[in-house]
Amino acid sequence: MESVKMLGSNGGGYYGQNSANPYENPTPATNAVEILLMILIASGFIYAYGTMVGNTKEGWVLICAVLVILSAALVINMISESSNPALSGLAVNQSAGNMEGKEVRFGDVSSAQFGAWTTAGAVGAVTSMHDSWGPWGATSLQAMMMLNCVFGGVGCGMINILIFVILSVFIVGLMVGRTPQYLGRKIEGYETKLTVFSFLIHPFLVFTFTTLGVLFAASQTLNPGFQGFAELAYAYLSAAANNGSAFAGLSVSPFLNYSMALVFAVGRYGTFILMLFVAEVFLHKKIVPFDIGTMRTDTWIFGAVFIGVVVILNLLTFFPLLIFGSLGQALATI
Amino acid sequence: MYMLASQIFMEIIASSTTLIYIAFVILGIILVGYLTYVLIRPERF
Amino acid sequence: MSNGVYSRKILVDAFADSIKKLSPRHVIGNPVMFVVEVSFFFALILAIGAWIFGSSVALFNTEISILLLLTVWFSTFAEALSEGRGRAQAESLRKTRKEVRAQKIADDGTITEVDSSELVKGDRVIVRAGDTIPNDGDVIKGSGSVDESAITGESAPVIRESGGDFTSVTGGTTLLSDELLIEITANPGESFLDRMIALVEGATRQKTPNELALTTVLAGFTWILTVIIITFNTLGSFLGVTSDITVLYGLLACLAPTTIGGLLPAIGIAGMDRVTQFNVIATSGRAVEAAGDVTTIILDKTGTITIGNRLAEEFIPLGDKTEADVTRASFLSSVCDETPEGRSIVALAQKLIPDLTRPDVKNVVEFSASTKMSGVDLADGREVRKGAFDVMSDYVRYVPQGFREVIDGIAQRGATPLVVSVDREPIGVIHLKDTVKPGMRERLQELRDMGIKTIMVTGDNRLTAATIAAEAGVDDYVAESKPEDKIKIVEAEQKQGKIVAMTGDGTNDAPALAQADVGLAMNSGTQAAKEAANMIDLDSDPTKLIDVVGIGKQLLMTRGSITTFSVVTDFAKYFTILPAIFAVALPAIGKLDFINLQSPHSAILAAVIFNTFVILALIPLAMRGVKYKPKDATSTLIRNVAVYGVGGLLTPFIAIKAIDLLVNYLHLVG
Repeated sequence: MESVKMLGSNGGGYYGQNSANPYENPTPATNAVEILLMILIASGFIYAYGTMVGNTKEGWVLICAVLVILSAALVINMISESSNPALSGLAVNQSAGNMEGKEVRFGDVSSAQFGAWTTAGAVGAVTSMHDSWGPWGATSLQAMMMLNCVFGGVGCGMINILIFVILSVFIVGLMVGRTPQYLGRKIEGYETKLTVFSFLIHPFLVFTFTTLGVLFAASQTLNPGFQGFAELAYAYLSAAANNGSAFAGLSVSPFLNYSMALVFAVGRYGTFILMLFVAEVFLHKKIVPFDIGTMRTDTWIFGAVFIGVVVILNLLTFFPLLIFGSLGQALATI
Repeated sequence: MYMLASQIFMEIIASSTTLIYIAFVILGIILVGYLTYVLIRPERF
Repeated sequence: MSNGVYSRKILVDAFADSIKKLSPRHVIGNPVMFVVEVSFFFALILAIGAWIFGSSVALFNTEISILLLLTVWFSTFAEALSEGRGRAQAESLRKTRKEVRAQKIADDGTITEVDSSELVKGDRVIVRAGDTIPNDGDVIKGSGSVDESAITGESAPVIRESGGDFTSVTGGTTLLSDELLIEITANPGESFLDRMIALVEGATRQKTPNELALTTVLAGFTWILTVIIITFNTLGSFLGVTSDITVLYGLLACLAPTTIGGLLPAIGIAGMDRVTQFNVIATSGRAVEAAGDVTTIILDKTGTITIGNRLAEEFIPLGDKTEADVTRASFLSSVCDETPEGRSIVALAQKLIPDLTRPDVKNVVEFSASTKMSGVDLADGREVRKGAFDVMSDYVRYVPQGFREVIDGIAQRGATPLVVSVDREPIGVIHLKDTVKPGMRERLQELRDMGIKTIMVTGDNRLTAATIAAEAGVDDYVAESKPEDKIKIVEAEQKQGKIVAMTGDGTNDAPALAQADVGLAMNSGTQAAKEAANMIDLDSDPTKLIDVVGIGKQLLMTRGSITTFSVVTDFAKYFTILPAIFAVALPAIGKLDFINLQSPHSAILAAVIFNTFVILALIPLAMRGVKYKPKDATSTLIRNVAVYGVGGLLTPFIAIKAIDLLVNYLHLVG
């Protein structure tokens, strides 16, 4: 069951504690396997994409770019979980790291890593309770779901990566003095429109529903202030990104149930449907051959540009959400 | 006349911070609607 | 004709015009600016309310409202300025078109004097030396030298003559010599000048496809930012934080891509103007953008890649004939040939044998592109012909010894061999020298650096073409081509997915010009060519195509660079405004303010001031276009990302800090 859960980036476990439960994930070895399974298909998709377009370098550039972002998340997570800020001034031995909500057999480092992989890969399985994480780590977890393209889920990660590739190529491609073209196809009004709409769905859902959550479900949060806000934000982020992991701390209510179900559906299928139209249009386009005047998307510079666009575009839209939640909390601890 | 009018005006302003905020939100929604239209049909402009 | 100086009149006119453009009806066409304008109105009401209510934020609210208005105004100013410049160019053209008197000639030969504005299409006029040509037309009879400086600014006169490819004359130019019979080809108000003026003035009306796509992206960013602003206070209420609506509008204005949103119209208009400055009329902005995408250019050999006025350099006898024989025969063949080549043959012959006399000519055989030969039939019965060696070798009775060697010898030197025959007997070969234009090699290399393939097309023989091609450095060439071949070449390239540009002037170029993605017709060319093309070069210089490609690319580059800059500066603005907004309620977030701004209000004010004035500061860049160097994509990308991407990250921090200090120094915040 574990393999299905992990491979399919499903994340729904047999037990409520998910992979934290020893029956699901008994040893560090099985943990490693679970992590591998998580991103196996998603990364495979990116590589396969490269093969399909006839140039595996295209795939590798994206895999590397995404790995860079993931590495940053891994580092942040590990540093974050190395100590519990609430206990920082006290006479407590923190050498084992922030063990609140963690499984002893995994410890803080492995749980931190697992958290990064699961939110990045839109899997949602957990080996620790995310509500107990320190603020920096929590920020990173939410950031992974905001980006929704750091490998991402099976298939939908690839789609989101492509959304950002198209947006990157459009903005930056102009700087080269040509009308933007990706893989030899000109990016014109119709597909730009649809790609922009696809990009907007995710932040729109998260912002409007978190707002509704604050209005109608504030009482469902466990903690006050930044932490509570993060609980709400995380829930909707997880739904919109089809992650499935929970910050926990939210008590169930019909409002939350129904709204999150709605967000799940629109978040997943909205993007899919729009991008299918884009794919159709690209299929019929005339291909312009490459020459040295074309901006190439299989170079390291494009990889860097891709990272920049992904980070900046998402940062610009989601920053307020982080500030009111985990990031604000993180800054408070400095 | 002038005093009365400005008094009424001030009273309205004082009690209407929420009203103003609601107006702000509605205006915002209208702008979003306008922008959606621009997104769908940019040629119209 | 080009004028890069901002004259006082243009600035003043732009000022007035920009105020008019502030009307919401106009601004609604620009989504980013419209959102800012609406914010301005609401913020203004709030400011007034604050004054009446005696609130402490009255001054701050007023400042923000003013800044919001300025943001929109700087944008309309940029637009008005670029339009004004274009209009000034059009005006200076209009001034050249005086009302002149024209000598209209009716079918029966009677001449009436009419005003140039009364001439319609189909009318015929006689123009004599010293007269101004009344309107656009085709020369039906005669040849003369025309001063086109009124249109092109070039004082060197050009030859316009009937037949051939130089028949077009433009209204407003002056005939310097001889006499021309001209058929008018345009109705009053529809001449090319009028069209050009209309284009330059109408440059605002149509948004090009790329501009529309970019507007979509910008509208999208603004869309989500508006959603964020609307929900901001509700989200904040969870933490007990509310912000002033005016502050939220300031935040919106800063985060929305106002820099590119405000300058986008001006960039497009300025781009079209730059094309006009190069004396090229583009029929649409789309043509200019297409020029930027060009991947293949087709150029003629003679006159484009080479200097064109081929001069006779040597007469080489064939078989047992002597040089004198060839000289005389060549002289005879070209005595009625008015082309520069013909005249140079006559001149060289007369130099070698000074006492040559004109023969009695019974019949003149004109050159045609399909027969590739010309000559005369003399009164004494002799038939003298000269022509390309391939057709001549079929035409003559026998092929003499050493024929091939002589031909190849000339061709290998990049010259054109013309075989001369009398009564179908080959006499000799004329060596017509043709040289590659100076600097052509470098220009073609520039094109190659940009990834553009060059193809040379010529009716000349293969060997000559090969030599010239190698010397000029074209990527490919087609020799011995007939006029109808050109369109086939265009189509072949397009089938490969290439974007093709070509130049042309003759009627036989028209199909190819129409088929090409970018067709540049010479103003001196025939009407058909000009109608088929989507750009016309008033200087009739085919190498102008290279400049046009550069302008197209520069236009797109400017859009991309300023967009990148606009988006990236948001990064710094977040770091300045958000800490300020939460300074009181959530002091934790104040730690983001690592550049240590003085107070929340001054921080927000500084950010908004920066956001507003950066538009004004970038107007020159938008109008001039970013620096453009013909290079490959990767280096251009790295360079522009470094300048505008990294620049956009760092500059705002410095600028906002400076403005913040200034604002506090001037006590602009309460």
